[in-house]
Amino acid sequence: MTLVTRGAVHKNSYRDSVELMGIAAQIEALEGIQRAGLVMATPANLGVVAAAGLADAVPAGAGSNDLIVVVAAADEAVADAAIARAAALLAAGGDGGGGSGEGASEAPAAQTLGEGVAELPDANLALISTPGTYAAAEALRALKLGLNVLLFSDNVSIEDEIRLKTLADERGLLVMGPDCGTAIVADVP
Amino acid sequence: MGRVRDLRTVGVEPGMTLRATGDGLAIPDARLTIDPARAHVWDPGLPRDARLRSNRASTDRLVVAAEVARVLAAGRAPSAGFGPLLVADGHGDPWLDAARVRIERQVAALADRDVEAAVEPAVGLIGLGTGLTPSGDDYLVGLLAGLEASGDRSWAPLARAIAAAAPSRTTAIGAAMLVHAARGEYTERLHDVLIALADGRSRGLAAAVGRAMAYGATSGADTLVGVFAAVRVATSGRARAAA
Repeated sequence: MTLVTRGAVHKNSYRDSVELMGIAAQIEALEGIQRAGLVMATPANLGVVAAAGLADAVPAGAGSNDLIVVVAAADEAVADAAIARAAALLAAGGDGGGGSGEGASEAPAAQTLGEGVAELPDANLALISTPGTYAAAEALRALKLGLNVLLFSDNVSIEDEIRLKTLADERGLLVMGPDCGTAIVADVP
Repeated sequence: MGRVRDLRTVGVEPGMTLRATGDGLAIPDARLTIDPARAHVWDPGLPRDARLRSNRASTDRLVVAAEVARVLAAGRAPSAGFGPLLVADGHGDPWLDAARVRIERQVAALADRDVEAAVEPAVGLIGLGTGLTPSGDDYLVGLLAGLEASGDRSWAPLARAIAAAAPSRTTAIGAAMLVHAARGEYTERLHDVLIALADGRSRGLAAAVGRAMAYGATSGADTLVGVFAAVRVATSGRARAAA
């Protein structure tokens, strides 16, 4: 089978490795996708991408401060859909650098939980995936906004976990995690 | 006054303006002033008690301390970055395989006191991996700190080579971090890990490893992989010299 490769570049975009790995795993799980990678386009990473047979997917001009998405897929439609899905997932994570990849949304994404709730008044669940040091504060904010919490982050102290779950219990909300792993909620992984 | 873990508890909110007042800093909206006259001056250079001593008895103790630290770190190793290397896992992952080969070549070269041969795999690790500071950068910071702490003279030329190569091979943040490390400037968390390794007591190790691992999504774990590589270099060299 001949594989189709595709790539997109997100200029000056910084993400933590857990978020990138999570998105890559979601893309690789799509039907027809054989390989997917989301990495900073450093020479060392481009070497690994090339060794994995994805050199053709690397967009021209991508540099060390740019995030690239590369996929190998069964056909063009699947490859394009995967690139678009990755762009959407990056945007949903709060794009700091302005995604310029194919399919990236031009609308400004919500930057805070408050803005997110304003956009989606019926939202009842927040997924928190920040470094552990910041996760408790974000989870607390989500609970105060009346949201259930899926706390993907690890390295949250036991004291913070108790505080969060006590508050959730008082408010009839659910805190899953910390270090919750992934879940499929309403068909969205 | 105790530690302030979250500035919001003292009324500071994102977006507030910080003003220089001439003799200090102020955040008027939070009614907060920062008076440097009473501040502790902190030096990013390795403190004296972070030196890993070099007689045979302390080498044996260091090997044990490093293994205790590795097991402590492995218990909370993230599945991304170089975390799986703490548990000898992740075979088949192209990034980890690339990292593992380069780390082993580098450790072997350094153990043979062949700094020149250690430069190429080190340069290959710059910018390798995902994230804000690619895992390879964090690893190299831990390695340089560990080599310096152990009094290994190979660290200075290796550090110079890494600092020279970094700006063209990694993210702006990763390169800045490596340039500082090459000058012998490290984070307090990393100081604490080396102090705990030098001291060798398990309670101190648990606390220091816990703090180090909590840093970033994978950066803490990646840095510790570098520290443990440096300890392997230091202890293998001494073992041979003593034999």
